[in-house]
Amino acid sequence: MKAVTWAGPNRVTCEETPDPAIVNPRDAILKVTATTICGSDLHLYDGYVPAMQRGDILGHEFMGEVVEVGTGAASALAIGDRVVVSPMISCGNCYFCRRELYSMCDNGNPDAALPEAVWGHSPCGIFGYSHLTGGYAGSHAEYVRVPYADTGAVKVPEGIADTQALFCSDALATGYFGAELCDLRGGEVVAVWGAGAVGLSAISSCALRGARVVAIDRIPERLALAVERAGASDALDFTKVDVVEALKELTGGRGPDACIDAVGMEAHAPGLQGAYDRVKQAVRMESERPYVMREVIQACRKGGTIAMLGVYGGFLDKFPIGALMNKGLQLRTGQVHAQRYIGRLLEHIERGELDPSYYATHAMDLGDAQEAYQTFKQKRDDCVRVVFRPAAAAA
Amino acid sequence: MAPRTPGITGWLSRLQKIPRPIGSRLHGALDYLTGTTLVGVSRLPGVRGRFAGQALLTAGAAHLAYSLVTDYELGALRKLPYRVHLVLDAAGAGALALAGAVRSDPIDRFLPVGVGLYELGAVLLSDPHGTPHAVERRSVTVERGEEEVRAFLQDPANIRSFSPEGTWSGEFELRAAPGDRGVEIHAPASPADLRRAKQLLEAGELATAEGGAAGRRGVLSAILPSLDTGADGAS
Repeated sequence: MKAVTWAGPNRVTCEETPDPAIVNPRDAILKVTATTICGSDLHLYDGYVPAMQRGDILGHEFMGEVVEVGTGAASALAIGDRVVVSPMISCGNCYFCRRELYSMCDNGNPDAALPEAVWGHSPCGIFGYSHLTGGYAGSHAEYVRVPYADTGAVKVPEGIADTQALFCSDALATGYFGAELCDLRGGEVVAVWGAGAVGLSAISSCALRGARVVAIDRIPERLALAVERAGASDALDFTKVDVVEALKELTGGRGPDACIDAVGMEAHAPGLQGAYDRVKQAVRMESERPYVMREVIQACRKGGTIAMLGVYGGFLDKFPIGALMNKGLQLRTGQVHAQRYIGRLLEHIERGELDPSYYATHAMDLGDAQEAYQTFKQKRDDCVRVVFRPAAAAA
Repeated sequence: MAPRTPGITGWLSRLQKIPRPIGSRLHGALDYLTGTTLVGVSRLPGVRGRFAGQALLTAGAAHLAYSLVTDYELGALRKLPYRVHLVLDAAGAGALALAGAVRSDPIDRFLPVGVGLYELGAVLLSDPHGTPHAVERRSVTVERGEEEVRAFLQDPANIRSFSPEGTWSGEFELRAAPGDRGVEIHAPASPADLRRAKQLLEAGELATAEGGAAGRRGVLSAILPSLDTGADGAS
């Protein structure tokens, strides 16, 4: 089959690889009908995740058609089912899965010793997301093996388009998770850093819960989407305003009740601070560019909540722990427990309350993967998300 | 009456009582550090081209070579038993020290003798059983009932599945986890055995990335398997 593989920093290739096979009873094999490049794939693409190997198949946000089912998943899935799949590979039975904390699954990561050495404990496995999370083959391929498919694959109801269902896998689920972390009751002000697909999803989800949302980015087209499509009431271009001061101005000096970091480890930042982080990250003296996290802590109101959705992998430099403590902030974070949300999100879509289909700005072939990654990375041509449709291309 | 001096048996007994805090993982790290340092020092001006340089170069290169094939955590090919590795260390160190001791030039004499004594010290302080952590008591919590867990851990077929290397001692203790959170297994076992047992008990199968194309393993593969205490490939 054709698959997009990592070929070193800033290089991917489309190559022929062996077809996947059922290994365990709870596996299923999917023909991938749609898969998208996630912002967190860029951390792998850019070479900032050390446990990547040349030849690893990328991709974790996807949907497809079931073409083979193991005996242990047959009660939940059948051949021909159209499903959207959680990026998180979780057993469904451990302490964490039983409490719907799927991304913390004890059993999904076969390379658990590696993250245990780095982070103390291992998260779940993740498709196409380095050997820190299991070395599983990803979804940028014609076919993919889905472990624990009875837990991770959710059937898509009739009437929901691929471009709506696809993003329930990760982007929409992550944004929705962020809104839940903020514990909104209606009437709060939430500031969201980053207006990519996850940020737009967070904005929609917070607005759905009755919050007034301020979007922060530097790309005018994305800020326009945040206001016109996602439901933000205000938009701030961080290259043109002092974000902390602007947020104080918008909130009567108090600051936002909750702040969401939908950017993560490769934040763009203006001025000296941005250059400082970029140099330190380039020479591997720090693993992250934590500009957004610093600003979030500075901006959030006293006693407020921070939801960290953007991916971080290692160690922060100049982390304002003093502000965090003295302002009594609550920092909540984690990889999304997508299995918890996918069903709920499909219902929101059916009711017309959420519609992420506009994220799919570009459709490209697996064979154009390098161009696709560059288009997404450089945000060329107003790109929000590139979607591959391997099954359609193969037909 | 003068105190008795210990005989050979007494000295051996005393040697056996020496604390050996260096596990196989730390020993491996020292091997690579020592090997590269010896090669580096052998190329320094004043050392290069003389007996000491040749001796350190040979010792360093040999050290690196048999470390790479040693059956310990940091080995790449893992063919050479760790105990044999320690014997080679001791023999090499002794030979180096003796070869230096008969030289008259100070550099040719003291460099090999110093390195030889350092290596002998490292061997004496190394635990020949490997990393002490490998047999430390460990625990894992499983979301299952005590009787089910007990029966599972005593079933030979299950033991072959979760301990394919045969490292499971069979000794374990079960305790109810606080807050009705299942059962804690406490055992002198490797992390890999406990993790696999937990996977089989809770998920019903061993997690593996097989069945999908993986990366073409490069330099990282020399490190990853040594850290991998999970179940990949064991199903």
